[in-house]
Amino acid sequence: MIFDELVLHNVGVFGGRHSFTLTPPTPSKPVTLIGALNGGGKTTFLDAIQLALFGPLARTTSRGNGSYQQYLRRLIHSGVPPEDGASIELAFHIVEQGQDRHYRVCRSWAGTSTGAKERLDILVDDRPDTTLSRQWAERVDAFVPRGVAELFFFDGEKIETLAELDNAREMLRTAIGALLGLDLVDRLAADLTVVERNHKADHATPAMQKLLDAERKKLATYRQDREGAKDRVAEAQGAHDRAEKVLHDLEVKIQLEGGELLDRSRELEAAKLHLTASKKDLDTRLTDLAAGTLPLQLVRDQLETLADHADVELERIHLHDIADLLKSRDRTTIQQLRQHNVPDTVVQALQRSLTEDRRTRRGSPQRARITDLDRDGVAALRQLLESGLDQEIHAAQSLIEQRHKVENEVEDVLRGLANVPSEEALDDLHKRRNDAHRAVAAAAQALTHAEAEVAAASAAEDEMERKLSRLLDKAADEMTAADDSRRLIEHSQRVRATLKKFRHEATRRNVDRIQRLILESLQRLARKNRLITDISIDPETFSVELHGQDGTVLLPQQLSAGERQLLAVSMLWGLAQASGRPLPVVIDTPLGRLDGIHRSHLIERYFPQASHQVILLSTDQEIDEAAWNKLRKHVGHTYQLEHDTNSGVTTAKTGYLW
Amino acid sequence: MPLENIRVSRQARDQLITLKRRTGITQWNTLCRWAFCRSLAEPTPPPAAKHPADSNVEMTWRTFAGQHGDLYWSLLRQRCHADGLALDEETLAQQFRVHLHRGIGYLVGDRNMRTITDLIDYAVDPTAA
Repeated sequence: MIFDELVLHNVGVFGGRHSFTLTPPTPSKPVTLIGALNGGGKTTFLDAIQLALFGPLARTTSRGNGSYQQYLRRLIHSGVPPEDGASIELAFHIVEQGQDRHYRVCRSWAGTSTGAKERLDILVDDRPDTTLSRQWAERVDAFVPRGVAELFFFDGEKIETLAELDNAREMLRTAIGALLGLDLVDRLAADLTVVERNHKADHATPAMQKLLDAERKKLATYRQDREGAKDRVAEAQGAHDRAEKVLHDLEVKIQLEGGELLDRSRELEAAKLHLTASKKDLDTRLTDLAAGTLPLQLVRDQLETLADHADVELERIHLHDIADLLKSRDRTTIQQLRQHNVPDTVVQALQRSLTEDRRTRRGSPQRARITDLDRDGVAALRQLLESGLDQEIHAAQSLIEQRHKVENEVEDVLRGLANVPSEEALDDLHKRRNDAHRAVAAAAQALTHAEAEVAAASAAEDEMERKLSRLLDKAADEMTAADDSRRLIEHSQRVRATLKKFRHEATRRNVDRIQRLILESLQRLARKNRLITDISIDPETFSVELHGQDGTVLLPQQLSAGERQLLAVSMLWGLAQASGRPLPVVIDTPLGRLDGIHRSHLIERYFPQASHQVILLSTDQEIDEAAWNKLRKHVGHTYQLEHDTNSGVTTAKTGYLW
Repeated sequence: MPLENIRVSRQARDQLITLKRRTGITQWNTLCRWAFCRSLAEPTPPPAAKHPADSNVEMTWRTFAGQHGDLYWSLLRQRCHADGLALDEETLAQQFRVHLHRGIGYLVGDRNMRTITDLIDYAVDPTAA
């Protein structure tokens, strides 16, 4: 990989846009030298490269403990408003399948009220690749594994701490892990552990067992409930039967004691009232009848006689009347005969004959009248005798008959009423019967309720049984699954053991090579190159042991600060070589506290060969004029960062301090 | 009519009140008609007792006889004639009183006559009387 260009726009001290061309012009000039005074932006430059590549995961020196957004916001140049934002572009190319492929990572952000909003664009061969942009965080390791980035991008002053054996061990562990792809192995092992744990959770049949037990217990409870409910039904049935028996007994008793008659008493009373009324009505009609001609019936014989006598009397009167009439006419006739001089003898004879005739006509001599009835009276009497009286008698008979009937009915009613027991005697019975009715109703309700309970309990039990059987099926399945899990866990454990072995073996083999490379590097760089004769790394713990000339173990404290820095550089170099990754090397403050001899060793032996591209961020004190002259033939590009303390703006120019 | 007013004795009045109670008949004249006919039905001549008109029960002949006044009158005359009495007004009036009071006595004296039906039964069913 070769970094082609880094563009900083409003990043940190870099106000405005600054572009650094980094591509080495020839393989013999791999070094790009960037000079600046302290505070000039060297560290910003190094951080920018890491930030461009790794974003939130970059291990930059200036980030501190704040959030990534706040860090980005802080990183925006102080001379511009945060909303304007900042951007970093890192262009590099790598050889893929025999061809150069150019990448450009553009990371830009703008300040917001709370932090910053970041945007990442990846251009491949000048074309935006949205998929890669989205997946960059995962894919960046393919270009620059984060684990080894520290081996290639580092601050010379800070690496001294690597010589501290504890730090060294950690770094070695990370680096070797990353180098060998052992982090993959570790992750695989970790994932396997997770898998095992998951399957162990699955395997945990006791939970199922517990569930089954709980369901079984519930089922038992339901069964018990049902049995209880059945008992209650039987109980309620008994109570109901008893209540009905009581009621029945009471009914019988009430019937015996004329209870039903009592029920009828109202009817009877009503009938009595009605009958009394009709009797009264009949009496009235009889009374009316009595006021008529009925009493005459008592003297009917006398009435008959009276009628006959009256007829005779009237006939006699009639005859008398006729005789009187004839007498007067006879007299007139005789007078007229005398006037017409009819002989006296004739007249006298006629007179005698007429008188005789009248005497016979008159009949019996006139007697005193007894009946004293006129014709109308007789007619009325006859009418009375022929039909009037009989009609009245008939009517009276009918009424009397009715009255008898009514009286009989009244008697029946009265008898019935007499049979009706007294209200008080039955009140108690009726009350008890009402109570019994209520008791029966309550018992029936209780029975219904209990039956409903039984039904509910049965349903619940059935449901629970079905559920249990389903659970048992499921449990059987789970047992099978648990077998699978067990097998899986076994295999997983075996794989993990294998992985561990593999890791150990791989580490051991590589550790040998790394030891050798570090030692070589150290011996190339160190002035007292016999001081450390051997380096051994424990493949298990990654603890580093330094061995002196006579095989004694050296402690880092016995080394000077410069020596420790050299050791650290050696370790980085060795590891970088061991990684086999063709990555550029970026070193900030590369010479730090080294003395002149060590400096020249680094300048002459390390920088030109550290990698195919080496970017040095140096102060004027480190790469001074003498060093510059030595390094010059390896340098492809030079830049100078000038910081204006008044404006706080750093500007980059080509060329070096000298 | 020979009889303008009919006033019964106090005893008869009391008896009529009893009859009123027994038969439920509220009219004096109705009871008196029955009493009169009851007496006429009896073949024996009534005893010539004195019946003082000392009660407040009083009615006119017309009230007594109603529409059949001439009939009742004829019956009385016939009875008097049958009993061999003169048909003068005084005798007839006296005989009426006697028959009336005897009839009231008969009706009251009949212990079986307790209701209106018993009374009517005299007319309807003479065997029961």
